[in-house]
Amino acid sequence: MEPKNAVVFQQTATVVVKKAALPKEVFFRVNGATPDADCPANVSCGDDCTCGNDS
Amino acid sequence: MSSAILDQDTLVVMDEKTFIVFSPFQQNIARVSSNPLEDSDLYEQLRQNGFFQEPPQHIQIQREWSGFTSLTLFLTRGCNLGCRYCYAKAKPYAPGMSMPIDLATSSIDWFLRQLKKDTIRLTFHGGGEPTLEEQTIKTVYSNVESRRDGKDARYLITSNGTAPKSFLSWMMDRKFSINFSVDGPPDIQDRNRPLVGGGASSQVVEDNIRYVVNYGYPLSVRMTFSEGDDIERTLRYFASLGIKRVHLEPLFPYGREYDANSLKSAGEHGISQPKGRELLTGFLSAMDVAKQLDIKLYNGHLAHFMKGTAYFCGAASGRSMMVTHDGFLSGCIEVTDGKEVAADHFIIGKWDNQVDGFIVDEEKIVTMMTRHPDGILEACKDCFARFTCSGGCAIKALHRTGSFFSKDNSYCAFTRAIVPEVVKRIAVESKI
Repeated sequence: MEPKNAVVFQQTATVVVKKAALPKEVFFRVNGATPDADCPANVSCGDDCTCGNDS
Repeated sequence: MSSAILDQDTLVVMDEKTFIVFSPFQQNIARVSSNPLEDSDLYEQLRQNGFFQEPPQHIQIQREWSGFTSLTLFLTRGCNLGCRYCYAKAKPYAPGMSMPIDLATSSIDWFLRQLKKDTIRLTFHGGGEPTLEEQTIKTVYSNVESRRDGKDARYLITSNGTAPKSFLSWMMDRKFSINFSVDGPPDIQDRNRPLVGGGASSQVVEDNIRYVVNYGYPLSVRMTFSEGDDIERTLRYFASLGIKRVHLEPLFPYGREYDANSLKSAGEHGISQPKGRELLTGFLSAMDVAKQLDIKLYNGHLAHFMKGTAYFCGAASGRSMMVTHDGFLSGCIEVTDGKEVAADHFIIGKWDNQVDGFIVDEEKIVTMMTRHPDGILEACKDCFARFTCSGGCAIKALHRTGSFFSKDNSYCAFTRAIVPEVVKRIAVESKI
């Protein structure tokens, strides 16, 4: 079964391109769905800052 | 080829005898049987399908500073815990080591005057335990709420998890994002994060975690991973308490006892930084367990993997305004007062009573902004992981090498090792 967001939108003899399905167990900032990179809860600081606003 | 290459916005990762082609920004993925070398038909075919495009603007080096977009207040240098590895070298809480309320409210005035965005982002953070300054937090909150003038306001606090329940309730009722720093089951927590006078902290912290979770409130924990600790056991412990979000970082050997105990190898307290590939294998193992337990893992580097970033840190690039209790503007969440050894590198301004505002060293901020793969970090210029970490944490680099404009090779090695592994996992998830 295909993952929900894996849409085959182009298929040729050699290449199948899909929309990537991300592992749900890891937090990734994604355009439009997560806070700005300048969020004060900047997880990138690597120290005690976990943003609680990712949804 | 190396384990991965980066061409424009696209990663190519060798996976046994095939190649995974992945654009994090477009979220497109494909698997091909040969290496898509530039000028080949395959490369052109992939390019026409959205790969190998110009990287987005937001990851490019910035040459001009345009003001602060968030505010963090370091409320106190005092703490009620005595964590073995405390980066801030916090001291037992006592009068005179906290931010005066006037400075806190003046900081908000100044920040709001220069803020161009529609969202007010305010964080209460360490240098000590911020919840010890409950009254200042409540005053600051009222001040912001009365003046936000239609703007959205978001509050976040990072705590050691020892706050009174009444204050936790107050924050939850006001929708603060709450993050507890906790290292794991009682034996690990009490070894790493004892009470300031000695003794176990695990009971009060665990009790507070249950309180917040039972409130039905989302709680994140930030755990420091030390060499030899069992990540799986720690995640299962957090899951048993109802935790769904875990920020996982390794122990860094820079802190309170760095001189007495380098933390590079297990010493008096039995804690040390993970060596070699232990962090990589630990994180991959954590991903497997987190998937089973329905936990989401956070990591400072991987968080940027899909969106990319120009700068690893908002503070060291002049976006996050961080005010120390003694009135300095800090360019690092770990430089928590004007007396820090790294202050010369990271202090970017100071409160001035005569002008009733902060004097900002804009030239220093602009210089900081050259810490970018297309700037001074030439070693990162051709790295396939450059959009993920953009050179990594500046103060870790400074501690390790003596230079702000360098990188922490240990964490760099982790990042370069995990990025291809994450791409392979995305390929599996995407069934290609």
